[in-house]
Amino acid sequence: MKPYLFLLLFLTITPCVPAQDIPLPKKGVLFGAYMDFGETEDDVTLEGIEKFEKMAGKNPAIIASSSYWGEQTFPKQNLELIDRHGAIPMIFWSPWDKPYNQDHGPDQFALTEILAGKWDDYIDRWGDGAKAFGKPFLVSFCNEMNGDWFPWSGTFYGEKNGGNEVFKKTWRYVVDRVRARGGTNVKWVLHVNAYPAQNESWNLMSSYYAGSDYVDWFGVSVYGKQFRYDGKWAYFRDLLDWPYKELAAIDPSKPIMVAEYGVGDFPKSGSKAEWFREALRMIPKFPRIKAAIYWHERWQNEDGSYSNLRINSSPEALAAFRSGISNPIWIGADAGKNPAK
Amino acid sequence: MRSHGFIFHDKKGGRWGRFKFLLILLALILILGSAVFLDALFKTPRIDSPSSLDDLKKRFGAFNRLQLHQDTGESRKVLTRFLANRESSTRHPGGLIADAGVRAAFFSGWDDAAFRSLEKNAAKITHLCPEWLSFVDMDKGITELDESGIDRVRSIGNFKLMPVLDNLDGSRRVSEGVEYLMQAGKERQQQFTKQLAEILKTAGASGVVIDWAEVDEGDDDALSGMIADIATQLKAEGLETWLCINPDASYGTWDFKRLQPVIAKFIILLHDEHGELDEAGPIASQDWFEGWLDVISSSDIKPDQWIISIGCQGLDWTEGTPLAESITFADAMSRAGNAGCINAKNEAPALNGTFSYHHDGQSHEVWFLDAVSFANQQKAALAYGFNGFAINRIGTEDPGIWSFFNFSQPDKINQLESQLPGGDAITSVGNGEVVTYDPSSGSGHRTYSTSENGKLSCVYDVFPGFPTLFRMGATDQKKIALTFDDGPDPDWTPDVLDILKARGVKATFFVIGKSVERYPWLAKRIIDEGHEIGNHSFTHPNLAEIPTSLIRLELNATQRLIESVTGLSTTLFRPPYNADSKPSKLEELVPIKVAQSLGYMTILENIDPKDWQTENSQQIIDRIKDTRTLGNIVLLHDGGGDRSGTVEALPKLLDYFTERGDQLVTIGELLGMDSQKILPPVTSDKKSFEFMASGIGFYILRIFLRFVEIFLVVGTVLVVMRTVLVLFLATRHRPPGSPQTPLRKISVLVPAYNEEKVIEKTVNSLLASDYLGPFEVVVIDDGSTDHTIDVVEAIQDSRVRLLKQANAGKAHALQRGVDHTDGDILVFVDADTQFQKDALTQLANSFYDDKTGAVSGHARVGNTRSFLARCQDLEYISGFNLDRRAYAYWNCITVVPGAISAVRREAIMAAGGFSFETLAEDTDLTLAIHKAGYRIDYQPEAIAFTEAPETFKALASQRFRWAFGTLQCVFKHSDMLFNPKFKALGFFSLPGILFFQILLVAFAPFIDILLIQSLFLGHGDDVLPYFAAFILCDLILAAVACQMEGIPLRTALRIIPQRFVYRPLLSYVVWKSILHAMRGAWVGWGKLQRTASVSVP
Repeated sequence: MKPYLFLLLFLTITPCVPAQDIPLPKKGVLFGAYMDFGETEDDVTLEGIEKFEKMAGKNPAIIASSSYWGEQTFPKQNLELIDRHGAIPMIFWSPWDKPYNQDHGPDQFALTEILAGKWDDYIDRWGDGAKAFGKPFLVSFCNEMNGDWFPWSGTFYGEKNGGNEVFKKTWRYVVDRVRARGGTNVKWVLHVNAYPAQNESWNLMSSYYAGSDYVDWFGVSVYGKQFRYDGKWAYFRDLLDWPYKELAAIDPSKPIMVAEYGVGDFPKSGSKAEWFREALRMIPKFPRIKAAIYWHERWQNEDGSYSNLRINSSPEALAAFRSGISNPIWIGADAGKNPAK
Repeated sequence: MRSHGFIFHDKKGGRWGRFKFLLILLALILILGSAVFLDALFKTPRIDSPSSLDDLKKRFGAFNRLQLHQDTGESRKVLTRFLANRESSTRHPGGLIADAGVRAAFFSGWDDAAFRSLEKNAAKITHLCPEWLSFVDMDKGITELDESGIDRVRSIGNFKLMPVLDNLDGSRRVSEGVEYLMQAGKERQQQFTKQLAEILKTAGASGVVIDWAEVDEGDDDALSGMIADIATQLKAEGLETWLCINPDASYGTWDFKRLQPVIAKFIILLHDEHGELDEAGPIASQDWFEGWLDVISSSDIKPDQWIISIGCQGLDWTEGTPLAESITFADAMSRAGNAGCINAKNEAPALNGTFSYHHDGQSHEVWFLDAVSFANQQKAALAYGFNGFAINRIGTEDPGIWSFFNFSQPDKINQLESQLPGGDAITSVGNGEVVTYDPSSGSGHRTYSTSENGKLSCVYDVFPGFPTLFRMGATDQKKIALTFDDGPDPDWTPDVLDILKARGVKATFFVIGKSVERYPWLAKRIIDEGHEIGNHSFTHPNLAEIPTSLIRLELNATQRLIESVTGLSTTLFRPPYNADSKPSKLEELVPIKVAQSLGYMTILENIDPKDWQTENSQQIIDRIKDTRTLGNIVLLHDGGGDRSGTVEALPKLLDYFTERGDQLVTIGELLGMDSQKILPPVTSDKKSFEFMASGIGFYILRIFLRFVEIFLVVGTVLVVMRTVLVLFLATRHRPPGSPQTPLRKISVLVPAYNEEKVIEKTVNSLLASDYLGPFEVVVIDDGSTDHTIDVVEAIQDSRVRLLKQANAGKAHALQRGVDHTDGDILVFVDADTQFQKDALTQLANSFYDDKTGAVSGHARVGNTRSFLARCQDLEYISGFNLDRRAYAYWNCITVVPGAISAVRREAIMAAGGFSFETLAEDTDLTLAIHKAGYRIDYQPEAIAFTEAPETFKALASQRFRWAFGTLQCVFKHSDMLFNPKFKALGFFSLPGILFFQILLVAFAPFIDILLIQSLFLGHGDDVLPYFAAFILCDLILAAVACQMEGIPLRTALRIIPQRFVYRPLLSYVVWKSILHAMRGAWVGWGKLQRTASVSVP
């Protein structure tokens, strides 16, 4: 790394933040990624991280992974591994039961069950784990609740009579419990989908906001085309404007992150390389966006086709990603320096 | 008469007897000691294995509960979807069986069981499909699997070769290679196909089996299109393309219309209903299997273009583990048998074999395919009209299938053998790299029944038994044990220990006994710093290739040594060469079996960075990273070569493991066993006689080896120093004397004994001298029995005189000459030596200085016809003359040779004349003249040619006289040794004789033997440098001497063969001399023997 990059890194990170906080860059965006090298979303390995870093050409400042309630565990090893590696951990903490398929409604971890106190023990243990870890980390709890594919979506809790209210109640309930156990180092990310499944008032992003005391970051999922037999190509430039404005308007004090973004590789429909160039150029132009987590995954669909969101789905896509992310505006965890340390 | 005795004379005659007694006593002690020592090594030390086979078996148990498999699997859903979508009208009619169907076998070359089965059943196979080629990376292209066995299989049978081209990287499917190729365009694809065709043709294959799974079909059926293009291109080259089709969602993505004309066979892989990543369930239940037959029957592909791949393997699901373990039929039988299952069955509805058991507190569910499921499936497929089959994969199967595999009529497949043979396979139980071996085996039995719809089912009454490896140690993925083999080594082990100590990490060292014997302090340090130590044999042979008794010796000796050095026994063993955790050959198991019977646990490994191959630390780290998830034990080396790469990699490796979150443990910690159990202390009750005997034996051996080592080092250093010194001195020496020396009278003394053939020439060469002063030639006949006297008397020259005496020896003859002449200078000449014309003048002129008492001439070999003589020529030139120049410079010449030398009469008188106490009267006289205070010089210009012995016998006898004489002289004049009065003589040349001419020569053959032995054992590096130094010194001396002499330099090369011929001979005479000195009698003497009893008249 060139010396001026160190200087840049040093200057762009606000010096006066509480010790228990993730420093926000004044200029630039923290490069983050979710990597799918393991068999499941909660499988974080050093091998997987290093392989991704080699591919991307820059070490992510944030490394994301999942923690499912169905496992009833705190992802201690994952957090420690990511921390030792010099990145900030981010956890998608999902009240979801096995098998983790997007084809069923609320299960034993339904928001109502949580509110009824059925999982207090688990939440407390999780809070203890967070406290024991000690360093700040990001938690996206119940992501994309404005969609209709996850069992915690508002739509499952009474549309007209306020599914969002159950959600907000649960949010406060869980955050309070975790904090009560000393897990104050958790940075809570309210993570919505770019476009709601139902465009109605109860399902607006702002409807899920549990309040300034309960939310540290806003996050949004922004995906391009993911399935071969599924609609037109979506250009990145059309995807982020509206959700950004919506989120920005909720609370001007909160930093915003692109909590997930990605696109499949369908050369007949559109150029993934171009999508990357656009995304990596445009994201840093939104002044309040301080982090963006690339969703690096490939999966098979029921029809036998694959959705390949990996950055290396084709040589051209990989070259575009590498080139885009190499811009110093994208802040990595280069030289093994954890920006949070 | 000076003395009646001689040096070393034993007057009382008892010395030899005492010496002999001592010698025999010593030999007896040595033999007895060695016997006790060896016996102790053969006796097995008592160690209690921390994990006996019985203990291991007790951890097993059966769950004799009925399996109620509820099928909700993903695979079933996919099948239901395809069944619903199929157009039933297109189904091809069954029952049209062409007899010559394909009978193929998938094959893995890394599995020895596959070879064993293939050798037995080759005749029943038409095609063999070995795992061989992979394509995962566009830049790397097609890669070949190391252990494909492709070269071995060809000779086994007449089948056609259809190698598999997959997209596997290890066990992981990689999509990028194929997908990039799809996007790379036609030209790049054609290049790829060309490379493929070349590989296939070179291997003599008939075509290729493409097995690309988890690849996206892409836009516009790009994958089908590309494979069709590849197949078309291969077809043009005369090669067939077979395509593997998976019964999953991807089935619907294939463009069969496009593929059908160019793909020779489609292989449907009907054995992954429940795979390794799925929940437990049948591998291929009968209705699932037939459902898929239904689906493919309605495809665009006709039955004769399909090959039905029928599974033979099993899967073992451990509760709470995400990944099921793939097992063979034999593994399934072995596990069921060991667990004591009683109701393992293969029956409806699944018609797959299944049972469950518990092991080490975890419950297991096993599903497996056997001959019954194979028969049902083959029958069903035949009934559908399919007659192409593949075994997936050979070596894992129930041998029962071979009784019908090549049948084409479904009704012929009904009678299976009830008897199940055991034995011919290695099975395994449990997980991990620590193994215990159970060699027992036996046959089993099953009972068949047939249902109304004609399906076979069976109950296993008795399970066949197979040799079984019980595995341990894979309890926690995060634990990692570092092991270091082939040490201890003083170059690397301390570095490794330092690094481990600084990081607080404990490891396990598998040491070689031989090295512990050499560097016991390192073994001690390993234990002192809290590491574990294990037995890696004594000499690192391939234990699979040596007899059992030797394996025991190797292990016992190492154990004894470890015990005596550290005070601890070890229960850990790792076989040299075969540390890989997947032994598949029975002979590899023999050492494990023997070790186990001695009380050891065998510690293998799955993570092998092959650090012995490379000094590149990054490569070592990368290889470990690539294979980290395969096991819990890492194999590294701290000995056996340059381990700088390993030492350099170690700190980074520790960083890596730490960052990864791994816990670094010893083998004991990995197994959760107490260190007292792994390394039991040698308590006093265990300090048996054998323990003591072996301990003392090793101690003596160590001291002996140490001595040899020191001797080698000291010897080499001294030889090198001497060489440098001699070179330096020799080049500074200038010929003595001056032409202005007054012309003194010379008496030339020629002692002769039976010299009729040469004496005339000798005398004539002297008479031809150009010496201007007066001289006489006096021949002293020592009682010759031939015509020597006549010959001398016939010479008509007044300068010649003949003295006669009864035979009394050379010294007496010379003394007689001295007594009966009056020359100022006495010149001694051997009767077989020809003087050059100016030799007398040169000698006489050398006495210019009054202090010069004697002058040595320059003797050369005159008869250089034979090799032996030529060797001596070189020896005279380099050894004698060069040394003499050097010694002359420091006035420490030890001998003026009888062949050509001159002495001042006053000097000889001062020295007391010749003595008769030694056989080397010349050396004796030389030393006496030194004592008288005269200077002794060397005149290289005074040259005489002497006759060298031409037979070994003659040479040996001459050299024996010299060696014995020299020994006597050194002994007689031992007062001069290290006597400051004699300066260089006392400190350099006389000690030199002792060390270089006696000690070194005596031990030289042992060093040669050591060298040859170490070269054979492959570690010549130990001795070779010393040996090379010796030879190099000789070569340099010879070369310089030749240069000085004006002889072609290549002559010096003769020193090399000379060494090998001469040294044993010289050593022999030195030993003989020493023995004779001990005996103290004139015996075995040759021609001078008779002189002993005769006194001078």
